[in-house]
Amino acid sequence: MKKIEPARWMLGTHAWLVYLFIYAPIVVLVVFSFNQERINAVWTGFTLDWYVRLFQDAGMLRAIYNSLIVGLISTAIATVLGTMTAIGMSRYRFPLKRVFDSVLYLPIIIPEIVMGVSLLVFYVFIQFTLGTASIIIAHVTFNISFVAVVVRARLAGMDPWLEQAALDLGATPFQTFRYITLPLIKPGIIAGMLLAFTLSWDDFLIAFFTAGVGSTTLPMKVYSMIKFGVSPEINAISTITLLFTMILIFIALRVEGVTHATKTMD
Amino acid sequence: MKPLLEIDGLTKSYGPNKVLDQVSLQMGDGEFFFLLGPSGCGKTTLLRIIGGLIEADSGTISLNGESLNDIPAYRRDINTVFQNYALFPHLSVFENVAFGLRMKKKPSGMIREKVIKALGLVELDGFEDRMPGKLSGGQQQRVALARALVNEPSVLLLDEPLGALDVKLRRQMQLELKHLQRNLGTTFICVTHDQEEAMTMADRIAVMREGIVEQTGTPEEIYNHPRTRFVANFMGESNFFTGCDIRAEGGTISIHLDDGSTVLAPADGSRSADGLLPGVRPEKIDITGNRPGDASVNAVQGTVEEIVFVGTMLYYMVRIANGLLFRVISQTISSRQRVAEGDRVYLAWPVEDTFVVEG
Amino acid sequence: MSERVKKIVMLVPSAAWLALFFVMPLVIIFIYSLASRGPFGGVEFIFNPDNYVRVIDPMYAGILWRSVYISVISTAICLLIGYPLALYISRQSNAYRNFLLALLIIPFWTNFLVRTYAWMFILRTEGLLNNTLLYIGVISEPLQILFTDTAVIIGLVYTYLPFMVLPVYVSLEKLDHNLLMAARDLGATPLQSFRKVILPLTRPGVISGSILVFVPCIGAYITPDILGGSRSMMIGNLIQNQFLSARDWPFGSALSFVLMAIVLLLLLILARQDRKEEEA
Repeated sequence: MKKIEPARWMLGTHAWLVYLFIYAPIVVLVVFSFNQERINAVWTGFTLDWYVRLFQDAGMLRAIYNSLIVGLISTAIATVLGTMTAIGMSRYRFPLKRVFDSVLYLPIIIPEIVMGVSLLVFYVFIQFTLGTASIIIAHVTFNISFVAVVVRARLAGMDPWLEQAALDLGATPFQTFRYITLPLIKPGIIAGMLLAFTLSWDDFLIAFFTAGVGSTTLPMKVYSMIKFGVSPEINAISTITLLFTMILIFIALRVEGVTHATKTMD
Repeated sequence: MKPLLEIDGLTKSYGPNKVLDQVSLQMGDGEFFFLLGPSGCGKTTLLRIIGGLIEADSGTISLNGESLNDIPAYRRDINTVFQNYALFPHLSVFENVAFGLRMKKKPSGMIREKVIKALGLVELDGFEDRMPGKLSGGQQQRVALARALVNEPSVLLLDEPLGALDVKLRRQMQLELKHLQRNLGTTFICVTHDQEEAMTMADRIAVMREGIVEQTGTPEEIYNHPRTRFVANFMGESNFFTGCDIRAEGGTISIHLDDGSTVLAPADGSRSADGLLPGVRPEKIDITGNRPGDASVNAVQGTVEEIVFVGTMLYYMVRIANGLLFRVISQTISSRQRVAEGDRVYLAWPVEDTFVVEG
Repeated sequence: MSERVKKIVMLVPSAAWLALFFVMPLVIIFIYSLASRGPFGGVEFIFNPDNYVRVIDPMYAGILWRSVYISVISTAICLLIGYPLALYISRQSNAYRNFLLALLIIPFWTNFLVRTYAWMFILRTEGLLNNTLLYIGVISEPLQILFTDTAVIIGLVYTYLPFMVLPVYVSLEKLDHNLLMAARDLGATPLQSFRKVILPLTRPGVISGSILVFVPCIGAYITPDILGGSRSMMIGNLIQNQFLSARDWPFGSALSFVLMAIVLLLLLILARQDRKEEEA
């Protein structure tokens, strides 16, 4: 049989060029965060100066602190509400369920800019002072949807007979939830939680519209630095942010791995 | 005997679909009871209602004379072995079996003792720390059994317990399950669509069709004297006297064939001949060269049209009066006279083996 | 607790949250979009549907048009790059496939702003690309790429490429390999069997991918803001501008609704296609 070697070879080369395209900018960014030269993209020597400077910058530390506060609080609220929603949606029937279902997906799909401006207008309308609280509320709003979607997927993959079996064995509905349902959807909840935190941690646009004086988040700080011009400090803070996200992804993948292990049982 | 479990007038519909229609049954203490029927006959729904996992629209269930209607599943003294076992994937074998006892907050020493004993009962000693996902189908089935039995329920429900196993394992488990039930003396109610499984294990069987119990009885009663055409066909092969002259006279029913011969069947009660259809199982029939003299034996003459050798058995197709083609199954040839295709033979069977269904 | 109470406890908090902080804000900007701009930038509640008419005013239509143009080009490039990549991935062994897919998705989870900045770092006049090209002597003058449409397109392609590859990959995976064998058996050359068999059968994946790339492109804000110049404005930037600089909230609201309508319409088409797929 005649093989189409040239086509195969070309596909392979193409694929690795695409991966180069995807990873090269990130690698360059990280490498140049250790470069002594400030203005030109020319390698002049290794330094940790830019990192040191970051941690001497009170505004930067403040922004990191704000981002952590917003991320942690909004993730906690969104995880609880999103999980409850997912369970409620998978278990109950109620009028307007389809409408609620669509509304639940909308924050995921509508352009961020629209969500940002609508929240800004809303806060101004109800005369809510912009600050950390207004960002947290905004982040909870989109994260409820993301958590609900992730947990629902997990619930959908669960054997519906397990809960029945628990009831049959004498577990009360509460015990069934506590000892069967909750442990089984836990990987989904953790994955949703990590996703929510990542989204909050990375969000610039919505925070941009809903932040007030003194509530600048890390992405907002980075944005203002970028607007000011390229500088190695941005490379340094970018590297830290990348590292942080990578750790979160790693944890998420580990959780997913556990999920797969329990899924193979049926 | 006073029944342990009494079901009266149970009805359940899903929308316009009547899944159970006025089902009434009684199960005795220590009985191995089977609900048998094709898929969609309502047997699984009935099992779920007994377990308390589904609510009936109307009718009552009582256990030991006490109504179960308002008792939720988790407070019923009834446990289930689910079709796909529904083992908790995040719990070890030990914790799966211990689950029911833990939920009732039993002391842990007692739990340990009972779980080990239950695992021994199903021959899974030493499997305590395994995860269910790592077990074979047969082992999972045993864990499911131990998990239910450890609670010492009054009634154990089994939903197609052997359905997921391969044929060889299924045969073996049938016998084991039967032994287990005998030794424990617990009432087992088992759902299956496999008539052979029911015949092997059951003390009594209820054959169901489209939400109705067609017939209840011991395997022998149901096999030898099916009351409806559906039961006769579902339980095995039958030869029917379709289109013959059937009369009910005195204590018997007589079938008059167009070659002048008469076949008798026992009549139970005072049924009129209208709509009755007599029949006989292929393996109840003897093929002989001579007319048997015994009056308690039915005999008709026919011509052998075809002989097929199937495994260890012989199938004969015999054309008798009224153009009926009867099938006869015999285990061996050696004990009988040799019969060849085209031979004129007599088909003989005891009168009591003739059953009569409502056509 | 009764079922009713449980239902309320489980669903009402999030329903109330979304009603208050998601639906309400959209209702308010919808009302604003039909109101008038006050003399000092406030909102006066005088019915004024002209905000929607202004969207196609030549002054703004240009921006609208460029948004569509940049999004279409970006989508097309994603397809050109993404399809062969999906094809390559779909032909690998199982474990390797998952590795390649993970490699594709992981950067997607990293900070969007940071990834966009990386391109700024590379593309600017004193950036890595220009320095390298100057060094090896391909050019004698630095190229002006940053702050052009090209930079915006590069940024968008870079960000949304996975959205194209994944659906195309899924449709390639579903492809019955016997069909390719059959095509070959019937005398089709590789190119012919690609054009006549593979391409038509993966059309749903191509459509899904294109919509999934186009939708975030048309609503993009950060990419044109950072990589584009003042001439590379897109709808997102125009909306931001109306709210924060021009202080014409009614017009900004109207623009937001137009953008949302485009996005929802496209996603509706996608949902309908998926439903058809499932039925088939």
